[in-house]
Amino acid sequence: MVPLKALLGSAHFYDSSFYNSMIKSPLEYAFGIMKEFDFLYINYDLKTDIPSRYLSELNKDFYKFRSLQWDLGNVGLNFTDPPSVSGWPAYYQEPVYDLFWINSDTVAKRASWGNGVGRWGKWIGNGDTKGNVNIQIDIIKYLASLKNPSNIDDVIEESIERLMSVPISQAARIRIRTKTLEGVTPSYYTQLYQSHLSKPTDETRSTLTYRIQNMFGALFQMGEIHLF
Amino acid sequence: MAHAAAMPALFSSFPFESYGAQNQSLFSNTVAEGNIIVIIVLNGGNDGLNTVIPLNMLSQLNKIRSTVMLPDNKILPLKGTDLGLHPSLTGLQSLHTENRLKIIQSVGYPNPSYSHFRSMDIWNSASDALKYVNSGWAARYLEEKHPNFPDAYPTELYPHPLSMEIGWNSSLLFTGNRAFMSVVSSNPNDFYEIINEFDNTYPNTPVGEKLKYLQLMGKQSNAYGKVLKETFAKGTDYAFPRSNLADQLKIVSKLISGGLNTRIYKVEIGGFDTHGNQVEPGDKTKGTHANILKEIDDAVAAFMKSLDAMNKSDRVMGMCISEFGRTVHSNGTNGTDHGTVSPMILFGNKLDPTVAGVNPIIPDNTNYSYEMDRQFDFRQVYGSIINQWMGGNKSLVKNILYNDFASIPIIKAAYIDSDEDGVADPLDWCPDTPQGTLVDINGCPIFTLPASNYKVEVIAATCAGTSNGAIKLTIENINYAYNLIVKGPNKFEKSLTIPKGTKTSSVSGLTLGDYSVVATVDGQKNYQQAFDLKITEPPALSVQSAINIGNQTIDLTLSGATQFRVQVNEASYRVNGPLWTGSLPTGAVKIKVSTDLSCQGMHVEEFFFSEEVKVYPNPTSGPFHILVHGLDTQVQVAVYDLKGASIQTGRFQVDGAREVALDISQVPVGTYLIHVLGTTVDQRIKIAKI
Repeated sequence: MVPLKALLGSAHFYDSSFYNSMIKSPLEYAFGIMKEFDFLYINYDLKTDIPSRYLSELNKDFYKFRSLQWDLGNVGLNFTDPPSVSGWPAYYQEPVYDLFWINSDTVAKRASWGNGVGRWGKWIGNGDTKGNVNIQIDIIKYLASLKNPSNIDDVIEESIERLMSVPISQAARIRIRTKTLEGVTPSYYTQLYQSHLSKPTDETRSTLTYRIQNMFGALFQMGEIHLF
Repeated sequence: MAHAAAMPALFSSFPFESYGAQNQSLFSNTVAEGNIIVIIVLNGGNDGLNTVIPLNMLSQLNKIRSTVMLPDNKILPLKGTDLGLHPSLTGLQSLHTENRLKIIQSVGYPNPSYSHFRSMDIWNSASDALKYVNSGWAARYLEEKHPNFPDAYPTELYPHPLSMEIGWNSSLLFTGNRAFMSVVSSNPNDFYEIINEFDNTYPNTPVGEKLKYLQLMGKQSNAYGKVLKETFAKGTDYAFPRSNLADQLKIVSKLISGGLNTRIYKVEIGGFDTHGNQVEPGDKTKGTHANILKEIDDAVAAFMKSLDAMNKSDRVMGMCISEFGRTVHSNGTNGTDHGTVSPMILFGNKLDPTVAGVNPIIPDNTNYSYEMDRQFDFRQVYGSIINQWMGGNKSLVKNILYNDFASIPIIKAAYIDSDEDGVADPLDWCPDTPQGTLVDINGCPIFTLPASNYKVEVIAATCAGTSNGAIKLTIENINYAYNLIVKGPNKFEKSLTIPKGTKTSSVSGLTLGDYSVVATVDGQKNYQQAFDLKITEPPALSVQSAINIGNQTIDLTLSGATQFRVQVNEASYRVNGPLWTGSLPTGAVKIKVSTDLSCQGMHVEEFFFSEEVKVYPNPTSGPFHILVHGLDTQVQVAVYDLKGASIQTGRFQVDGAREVALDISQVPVGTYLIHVLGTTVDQRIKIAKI
């Protein structure tokens, strides 16, 4: 207990410069993104074939997170199969510790995963008769949860606040906006959102979703999202 | 000896007349052509006694490992030894016949661990069993050789990953004290390119340091991903059987054939933890162990065959490691349990194929926990491989393995190349050449200068049929006297010198065509550097003009050359550079722009710029004055109504106040148009008659 007391009583423990300076494990990275959103369930082959097990309150999270097992195995943490009794090396391997999670391979695979989830959604299981069940971030619902969803800069700002623990430079914000809008103007976005509010159509829904998927595709690939 | 600096070698620093065919040479470049080791990890603890069988112990073994022991007559004998191989290993048997297989008997380490994970960690970290070391020996080797990794990597000299793991996860083997030394890939074709800008600057805070690291890894990932994709695409698909291990070795083979300079690869195969059903009771040559050994055998045979086909098998050696051997006694479930020592199998063209060590002696009356004596520490094998194959002297080996270990002859003496310059020690007159040095056939450094020492540029283009082209040469290192020969079309040849302390020289009067410049250095007989360049026709002349009425200026933006001739009416100017501003004359203006090269064409622009004219009073009841700026002494004035009918015309003198007085009292009320025309005036003005 003495070492623990020394640790918790030390000034280092409360030094705010260490806040948010740890690299997330794959689990924290992926779960952190997943838990932030509500999802749409889509079966592209047979629209109606979304087995109820994926949707029931009891099972929903199980199926959603089960599908991460394989994804996370690819980035160094298969959460059902620890490599040894000590767990994963990032938790004990000095001197690198949390840097262990990130190498030139896993950094690309994390980015690829984030881009996929942000833009396309992800597979969680099969349909009963045919096809795959995919989940996709419910963008419209997400936008409705924001303070000012009709202003793209506010959308980006609040999304960064929700997803990142460290600030992002102005230059990076502008790049995200460029990637989100792909050449259209912020006022076009505002009009789009307002016309969707007054008269939602498949077209407004799909166009808005497409824009914000671009934003998530970009946000989920930023270095800052790996810190907490 | 030497490794040659990769880039200069590619760009030619070789003594031949013709440039073009510089890929083959007597000079070695171990960065690009260095030795490669492929580590095959056998997970689970391989049963060494059923892999490499001591034939003089058959009767003992048949007694104490009766449930797994292979039939005597099925064991594949290894010619010239008292050893045999598992019947699955026909490919390895052939490699032995070809002197390409090495067996090291009874390898292990003191205080053996029987835990898979711990023992594999010990093999990967190369630590004492009772010490915990959190880095891998391969990573420590690479860190010694690349003290600046990962900052700024990939570099010009090392554009490729330093080590590669085929699969999904990075292993302790490549975990360094500072960084991860490997790139992990299950499919080099499929590297994800991170969509991000990697030029952010971050503060030196704990958060900033992590962000810097993430950015560096992102950058590295994109760079290595690109290079792997490219080399993989260039590589050849050789025939391989289909199995997990064969798939992995096929990737390695294809990358090597594509020219990847990576020197350490790791592949893996599992399933060796054969507690039960190691063999089929009915036919002990079958079963789990036979299947996975066959998978190794087929994959390794195909791998070596592919290396032979691409003529690179001299550069590659393979090493199989497993965390431990298995019990000498077999158990009651047709298997064997965790043991300690086990033979190591190495393959490669340059191996010393003699068996290291002697056949183990298994006494009578052993009990179940009996273990064979250890003959070699696995770190002796690693150290010998570093020293004899990878490149590293005894003190480097000691840094990596934390101790001195007696060396084992692994590589034939004739091929050992301790300074890694590609010239084996027995032939190497300079056995300690630093890494990155280009060497001659004797392994001694040759004089060389980096290609970046030279800047060779075409500074003037020419038109067909004329000879206005020019080439400029600039050198960086002014401590030498350079001789340059410029050759070109129609047997053009000119020699130049750049004396010590001088930076540039140039040749002019050149016609269109291809030129070569060959640089040599006084007193360096075997050195030369060649460049190719082309003198082309210049681009077309392009002129954008802007007339600024307020300032009365002409602004020209010129491109296509650096020097222009600009004419404005009678005036002409020589213009250096892309921008020119001149005063705008009044009256008829003709702008002509040309260059010294006729084929660039001429830009001609003509327009009229009128002096200003004012009319007052306006509106008028009849009399009014026309104020004419400029110098015209006479002007033509015409008055029209709005339908265009001429009311009045005439030629008038401009008086001393530069005015002309007129009167339209006679015409009806309405709006009229006054047209004033002179040498420098051409203006139309509306006037209202009231």
